[in-house]
Amino acid sequence: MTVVLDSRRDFTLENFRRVAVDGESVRFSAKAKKAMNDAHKSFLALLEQDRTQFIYGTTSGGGPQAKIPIPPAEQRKRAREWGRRRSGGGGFGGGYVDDRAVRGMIFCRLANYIEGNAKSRAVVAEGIASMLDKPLPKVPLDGQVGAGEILPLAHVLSKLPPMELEEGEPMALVNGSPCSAALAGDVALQARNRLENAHRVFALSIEGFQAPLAAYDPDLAANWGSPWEGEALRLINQNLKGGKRAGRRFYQAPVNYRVLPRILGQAHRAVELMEKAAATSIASVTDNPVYILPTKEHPYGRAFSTGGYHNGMAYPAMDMLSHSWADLASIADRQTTKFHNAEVSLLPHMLMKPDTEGWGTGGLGFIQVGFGEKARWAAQRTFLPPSEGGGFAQNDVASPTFLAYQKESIAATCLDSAMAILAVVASQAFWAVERKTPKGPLGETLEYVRSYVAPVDGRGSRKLGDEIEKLANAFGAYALTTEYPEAGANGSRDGRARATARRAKAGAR
Amino acid sequence: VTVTIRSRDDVSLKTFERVAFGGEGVTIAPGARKAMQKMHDRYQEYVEANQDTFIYGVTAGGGPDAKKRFSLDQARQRQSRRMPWKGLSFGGPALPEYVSRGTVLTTLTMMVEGHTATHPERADAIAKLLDARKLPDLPSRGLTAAGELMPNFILFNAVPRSRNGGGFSAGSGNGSQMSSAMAAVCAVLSRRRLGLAEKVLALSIEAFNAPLEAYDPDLKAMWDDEHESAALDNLNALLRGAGKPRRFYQAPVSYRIIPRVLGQAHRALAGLEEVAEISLRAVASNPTYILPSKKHPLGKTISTGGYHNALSAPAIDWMAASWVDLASLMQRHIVKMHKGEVSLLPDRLLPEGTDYTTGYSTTYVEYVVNDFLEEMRRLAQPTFLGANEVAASEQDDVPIPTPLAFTMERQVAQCFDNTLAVLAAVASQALHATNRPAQPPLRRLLDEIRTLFPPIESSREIGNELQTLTNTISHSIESGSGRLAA
Repeated sequence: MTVVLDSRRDFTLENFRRVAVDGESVRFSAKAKKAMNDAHKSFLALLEQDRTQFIYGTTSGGGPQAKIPIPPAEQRKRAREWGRRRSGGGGFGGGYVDDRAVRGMIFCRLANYIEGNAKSRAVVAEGIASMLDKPLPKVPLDGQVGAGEILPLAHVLSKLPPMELEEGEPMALVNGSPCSAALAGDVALQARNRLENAHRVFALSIEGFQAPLAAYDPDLAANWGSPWEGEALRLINQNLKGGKRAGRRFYQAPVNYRVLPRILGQAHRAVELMEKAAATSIASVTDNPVYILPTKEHPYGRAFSTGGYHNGMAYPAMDMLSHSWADLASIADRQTTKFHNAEVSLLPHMLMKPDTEGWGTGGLGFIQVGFGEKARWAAQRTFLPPSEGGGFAQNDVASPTFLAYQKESIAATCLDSAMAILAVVASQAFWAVERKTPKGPLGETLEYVRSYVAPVDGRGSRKLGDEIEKLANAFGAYALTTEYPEAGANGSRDGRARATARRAKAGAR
Repeated sequence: VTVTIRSRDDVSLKTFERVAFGGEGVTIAPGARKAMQKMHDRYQEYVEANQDTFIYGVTAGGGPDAKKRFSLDQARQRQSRRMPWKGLSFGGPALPEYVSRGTVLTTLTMMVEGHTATHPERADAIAKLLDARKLPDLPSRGLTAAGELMPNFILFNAVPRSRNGGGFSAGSGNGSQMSSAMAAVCAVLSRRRLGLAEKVLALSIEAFNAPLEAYDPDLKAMWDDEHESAALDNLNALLRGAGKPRRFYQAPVSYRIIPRVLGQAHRALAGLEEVAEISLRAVASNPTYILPSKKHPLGKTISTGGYHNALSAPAIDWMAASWVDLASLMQRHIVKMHKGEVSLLPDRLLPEGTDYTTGYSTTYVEYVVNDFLEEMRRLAQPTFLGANEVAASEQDDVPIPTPLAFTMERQVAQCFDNTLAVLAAVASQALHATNRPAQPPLRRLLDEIRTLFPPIESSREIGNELQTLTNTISHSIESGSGRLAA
């Protein structure tokens, strides 16, 4: 399949997903190609009006050389020289950006081009798009925090086919903020799925704990008046279907259970902000200098310098999300420990049956601590960097999105791990009181969890950490694909796994 | 003047500002009182009919005693007791009275439609607190418990239940009203602060003679973001009539990205205001009385986690982070303005023929903002849920994060005001050094700045004057009026 790009309206999160995750190619409509070629022509006409006017990167040098004019006679030659240069990028370390996000960067790069605001010919845009159909460039995660996005774009464009560039075109390749847009898109695509998975696990925990359901009463939505808390309540109740309505513990559950809808509500708010930041960023024209198309007042259009290359919304949105992941990991930590404390949970001590020996899952409370702490560490705030390194006073503020992206990724992984532990403990609670597998979503979640990690019955020796890690990885995979991998895909222990996974997948949808 | 509340919908940021900041009282409308009485009476029937079930605080104890069951006679006896503590929290400077006033208002909001089954006389008594000359002070520390009992002990201990002994009520103070009030206070002050920050940034743009194209209104359509559009609109209004000609080539990045960083501040503010508006109107009591319906003719009572406002702290944190990023730009401006090679202004803003040893400029003041900025970075870290067990009761195990977020943001904002004052003084000096006026919309602002911090033409004690300028800025923001009000 191929995504056909006709205008900026086609730069949606859904098309981003198709290109980045599903691996689709892109091509331009005839209208788009004409728009690009016309814009380039009118830009050249604008330039011809006065080749001494300041047009960053065309009539002047770049970065600290902005004050140095390029003589008119050299401007075409300089553009061609720039077009032949390929630095390959200087960043290194931290691993590499996943291929899907690199594809996203290439896709987002085209938003400036599609309606002519990059003042570049269609052939240049097609050259960029063609990178999607070839081996992708490697983009290191570290060393990418500079003013604008020249640093990562040097890596992204290292595989751009050779081409003769004309005036206005070189700067359009390396300026703007497509990398932030793509990283925002990559996080946004996973965020809601990750939260949905957390909902399923928390529902299993509520049921395993036998927490009274009053704290999740749908009527609370009207009282609280928050759309995000309303959505949290809706999903909690949806995932609790099949659970016991009567015979639950008499008195209220600990605070950590009762505040769940509100904390999940804040997570929904964070997801919504992330999705909005991604959707806006993906469709934005962020070039510097930007070309504003001809109007009656400006028949040749206008080209001027902006701060478009600085995406101010992506990194705060990622931070907000990381914060929520850390808070949800904290709640998972509380629930894991409270489950094993009979005085609080009213369940068997350490979630073990009377005739069994050992700690069962009792040691997992210890394991949760590290994931919660790491999530909080990763969720520390990302600010505009204080250093002006490399900016020569002119390029004096760096864009920190790569940092926020890496941190969110760590916080998200910690949440997946915390959820996997909690899921295993909740499953153990069902086992400890010999409850049958409930029907509906709860049962599907329980069976899926058990397809990776069976209840710990104190017999035999098991590497529980390895088993839980596989479950955590499965949760991570769900965030990306909305499909729960079958346990066999990474080490099935149970013949029921495939059927269970299929059911869970169907339930997820 | 008095704000009359008929329903929850009457409480907004505007009414909050009138009551909390403006000192207005609150009257509960007769219709609302009637509804409250009706719900109170209906709740008594509900309790009678459901005395064998768990009703938190009535047939069951509170907090760690939730597992203990009580008969209605026992419950009545327990209810006649006052709160066991008159106040436990302490530490730090007292919070401004508007926090206490706002908390009282949001407590009334929870009650006004009957969701707490509060007797109207008790609500009247709570409303009357706002007419007192001074409400009890809340300390800025020691408020982080599970729910908001800590401030409630201080604010409401003296309030009688009702003249007739009252009946039962449903958690009539056990909500998240202080967190709601804190979000609203922060929203009100942040709008004022951001308004002034935009003015000073526009003055800095003019003083630097930065090209105006980076603020071109056509960028709105390119970026297509409501908050960046708001920033562009405001900047263009403040740059109307800006001087010409401008410098030939583009200004440093710290000038060109102003609309995008300001846009994020607008986004943070819009989010905070939305959260505040929602929180102000929320019924977050525990337990909550769900009003009678066909299915539940006596209503129903449910234990909830309403006392935990999870939206406010992250929204306040986001605002604080925006102050840090804006201050980062301002710090760059302060340095660059003194760097002739970059600004194309007189080097170090010195009069021709002098050097920095004369003290005839604002140079060296660049150093002053460094620790403000570093302090802000530390204080503006996110406020996570406390990971520790917060009390002996393992039942009440998750603390509210908003008080910490609120006090941290206030400290960040103070550092921000300091930075704002320095940039205002430096921008003024740059215009003075080049003998240029401010653009028309900011001439009055420049005059006010210069009244407090005249251009430097001789050596003088700058620090004290900058402190005065900062104090005036902060006062204008706190009061919403005064010489530098946005």
